[in-house]
Amino acid sequence: MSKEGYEATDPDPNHKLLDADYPFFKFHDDVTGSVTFTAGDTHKSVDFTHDLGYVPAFISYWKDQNSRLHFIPGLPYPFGFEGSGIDTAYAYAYADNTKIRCGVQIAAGAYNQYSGSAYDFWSTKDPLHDSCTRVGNDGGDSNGAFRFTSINIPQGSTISSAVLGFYIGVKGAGTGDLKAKIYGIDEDNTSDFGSSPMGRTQTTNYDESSWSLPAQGQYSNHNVTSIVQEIIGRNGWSTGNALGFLLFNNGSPDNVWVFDGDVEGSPSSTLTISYGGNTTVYFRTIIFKDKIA
Amino acid sequence: MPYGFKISLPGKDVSSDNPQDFVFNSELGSVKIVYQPPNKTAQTVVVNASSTATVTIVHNLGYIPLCMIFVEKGIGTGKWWNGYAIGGGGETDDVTLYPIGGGTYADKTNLVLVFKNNTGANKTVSYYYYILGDSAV
Repeated sequence: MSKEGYEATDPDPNHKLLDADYPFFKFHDDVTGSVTFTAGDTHKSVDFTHDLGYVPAFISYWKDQNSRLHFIPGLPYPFGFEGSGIDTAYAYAYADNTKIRCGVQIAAGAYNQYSGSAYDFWSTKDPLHDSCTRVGNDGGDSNGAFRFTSINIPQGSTISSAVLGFYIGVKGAGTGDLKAKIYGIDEDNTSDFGSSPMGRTQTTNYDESSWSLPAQGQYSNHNVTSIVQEIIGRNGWSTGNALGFLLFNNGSPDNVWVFDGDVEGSPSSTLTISYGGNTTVYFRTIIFKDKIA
Repeated sequence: MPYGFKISLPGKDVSSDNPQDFVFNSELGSVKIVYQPPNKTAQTVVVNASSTATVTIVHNLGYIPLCMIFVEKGIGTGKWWNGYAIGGGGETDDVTLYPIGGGTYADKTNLVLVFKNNTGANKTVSYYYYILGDSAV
């Protein structure tokens, strides 16, 4: 059967509606599904089962936040995770003999999460050290500071979680919990520690807790959510800015202190921030009965 | 339309205006499979370690056709990926299809597939293709 205006004897398949020599794809199923990203996710997928017992041909699409359909696979795409700080993600789809799997893989980092190592350090006990921080009671108050850079979080974002991980490089020989106060540096974009930052303006929010110190080589983790929220909420905050923390000994027992570095190349203390809401990605897959394997 | 041929889906009226209600409708055109691998069997090609291999499939349609390509990029996994696919849920990228513009392409005569071996050992990759009887441009 030829298209209107063409002869039935025309050999060009592009001119035909129906020809026994050129089969159609045979429809099996049309399925939809979704995945929802929450802060910290790096990958999500959904499976569409089929009962064909072999690998079928298929076509898959994902839908962005503007309801535009994108054919899978596509090139890396700023995946509509608005303000997530994630530059690219990939949608993918594959078939095996039981299912079609559609998913989204974050190219680098995690959805709506900053995770980084300290970039600048200060220690009142070790002012000549530019890569480590000490806090506690080391024959007197030992105070310190951290600065983290390239915080790709939009101004005003809701911070669901922020954890400052103090790396335990060396511990004092004293017993009991370390006691410290952690403040944020109340600045739009914390500048580097060319000189002591300990007198910089402090955030209203702070953490005051006892540190039950883990073993050397582990991290002592501290909830700094309200501190980070206060900084990110500053009118002058911009994504990509730096933020810092001030740590003050707060009555630690004698010789109870921690030092987050010992030798060159020691792991740094870390900051992990989760923020923003969830994003749902919708998929649609057309499954054919045509067998490819 | 002075004449035509329509077959509606079960439960649907042949006079429907909804294209999704039809098995076949001569007003709507159809996507036709012109070429697929011989005997409808997936093909293989050996790709040397850290190198590429090119497969040229001659169609001679005289226009650039729509194409679909499936690749078992994780060798032996039984998972077939549509077209250029990378990454995804920790799945392996043993041999991937080079993207349009970087190697794989279709023209008025050929479908050219370029495979890239991302491992340090020679690999035999399986692939399946459909060349459709509808012009892409």
